[in-house]
Formats: sequence, structure tokens, C-alpha cells
Amino acid sequence: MNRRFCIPLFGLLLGILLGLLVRFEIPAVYARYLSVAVLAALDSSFGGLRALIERSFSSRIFLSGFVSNTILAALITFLGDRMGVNLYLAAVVAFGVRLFQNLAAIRRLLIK
Amino acid sequence: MLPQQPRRVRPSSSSARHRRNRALTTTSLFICLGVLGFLVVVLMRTQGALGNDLQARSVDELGRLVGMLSQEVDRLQQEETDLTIKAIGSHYELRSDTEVVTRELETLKALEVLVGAVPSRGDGVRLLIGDSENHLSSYEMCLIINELRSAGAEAIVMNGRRIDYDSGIGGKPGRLALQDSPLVTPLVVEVVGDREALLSAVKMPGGLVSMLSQLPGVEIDVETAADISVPPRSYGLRTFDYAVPID
Repeated sequence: MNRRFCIPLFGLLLGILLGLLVRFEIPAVYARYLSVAVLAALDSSFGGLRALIERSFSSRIFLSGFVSNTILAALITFLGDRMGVNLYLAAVVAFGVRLFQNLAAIRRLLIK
Repeated sequence: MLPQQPRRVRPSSSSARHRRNRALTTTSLFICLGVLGFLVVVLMRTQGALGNDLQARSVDELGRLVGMLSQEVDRLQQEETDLTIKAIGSHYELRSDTEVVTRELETLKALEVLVGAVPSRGDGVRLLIGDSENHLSSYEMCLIINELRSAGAEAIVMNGRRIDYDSGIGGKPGRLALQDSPLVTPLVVEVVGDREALLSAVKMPGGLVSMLSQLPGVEIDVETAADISVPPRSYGLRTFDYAVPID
């Protein structure tokens, strides 16, 4: 496997290992925000992988997208709770659709 | 002329930028995926620890939950009411059954006393009837028994023998017989019942005492008696072949 993929995958495994080793839990009230934020982070990560495979990866775009999407998703959820509107659904739908689109694109690129 | 130093080939600016970009790409992906992996694990642990924690639920979910709980509370209250009603019904039914059994037992005891299945005892009055001229007939004897029963006699003993519901007195004056056993005078008639009622009944004008006293040679003396013993029926209970109770 290309080193380009091995190191990020190693980072993923390292993060998982770190999460398993560090018994860290967030307060219950923030669990929903973290859920949506993780979904946004997943979307950004799959988008980055897709760009990496397509050789159009830009670290600036990736990092800015990763951070901003994550924060924005959590912020939308927070605002939705304060306004009494389920705005997090919008984030879930948007990121969910993009996630599947990215997965489909990655699948096609890998098959080709 | 100085010897020409071998010229060091400097990497081109584009390839250096390319390598830098690759390193930046790898590093950024490494960090972001590491963060993502860490967050996923934290999230999974948090969700696992939360379980059904209400704090993690949205307002809508909490509203639905409250609605469901309200419906459940209503259902449970209805069930409690039904069970309470059922319990009260069962209690009354049980009490009713107990009362019925008690009444039946009382009836049975009364019937046992009535038919002479068991010996009995009680207060009452005692009549001493003398008939020196043998004027007492079976008619007068039946009159005595009827009058005493009308006065409320619960049991009648004549010369130590019980007067049953099917007892018969026959014979001619002076040779009276109770169920084929002779009745000799003076007769001792013991009556279990309300003393006052019996005394007033037999002593009232036109009553038993005044009626029997009109017969020549008949003397009657009435007194109260305590703890009169009434023997049981001497010839067993009668069996009924034709008369059956109506349910």
C-alpha cells in the first residue's frame, strides 16, 4: 500500500488506540454535539481520501474543511437546541449524503 | 584556474514544494484521522456510558418520552383502579361467602335442635300437670303442645321424653301414650324458650292454665326452670323418600 495511505491510516489507528487507552469521556450534554461533529469529521476525512486518490488533495482545503465543518456542525446543533429546531438534522442529512457520495467515488476510483 | 568544484545539484523549487506538499498532506491526514479516531472512540464510550441518560436527549425526544410516560401513568392508574375494584369485589364476595356459610351453619344447628339430632339445653318453664280423674285426653295433650309452640317453645320435653315434629300422642284418657310409650300422670312438661313469654302465654286468661283448670281433677302448676336438658331424638332421624327440597 502506498505510503500516502499508510501514514494516515496509522494516524487513525493511533487515535483509536489513544482513545482506548485514555479513559476520557465528555459530559452528557455535549454528547449530541460531538456526534454531529464526528459525522462532519468523517465526511471531511472521506473527502480528503477521495481528493488524495484523485491527486487533487490540498492540505489547506482539507484542514480548513475538517475544522470548520466539525465546529459548524456542533454549532448548528447547539443553535438548533437553543431555538427549539432540530437543525442538527440538516447537518446529519448534508454530511450523510456527502459521506456516501465520497464513499461511492472512492470505490469507483479504487476499482478503476 | 581553480579546479572546478563539482556543482551541487540543488533540488528544483517545484520538487521541493512537491515534497513539502506531500509531507504536509500526510501530516494533515495523519493528525486529522488520528483526531477522528480518538473522537469516535470517545463518542462511543460516552454513548455507551450514557445509555438512557435523559441529559443526552433532545427536547423533542424528552417531550415524546414525557408523553409516553404520561400515557403509561394513565394506563397504570386505570389498571390500579380496576384492580382495586376487583379486590373490593373479591373482598365483599369473600365476606358474602363467609356470611352464607355462617348462616348455613346456624341454620344447620337450629335444624339439629329442631329435629332432635343433638341434645340441647336451655332455660324455660316447667309445667306440672296432675290428672287425678283421668280427664286428660290426647286432644288436651295436643292442645298443650300447640299452645306451648305458639308461645315460642323451642323444645318440649314431656316426662323426660322429647316431643319431636313427628311425635304422636294417642290413647284413651288415663292411658295416654307418646309414640307408643305410656304417659303417666302427673305430667312433667319442660319447655325451653323465653320464660316471660311462655309464662304470660300459659297464664293469660283463656290460656292453657285456665283452660286445663276447668277440667275436673286437673291441676296445673307453672314455674320457671333453669338449664332444662332436652334429650335427642331416641329413634333416629327420619329419612325422606318422597319429599325433596326445592332449590
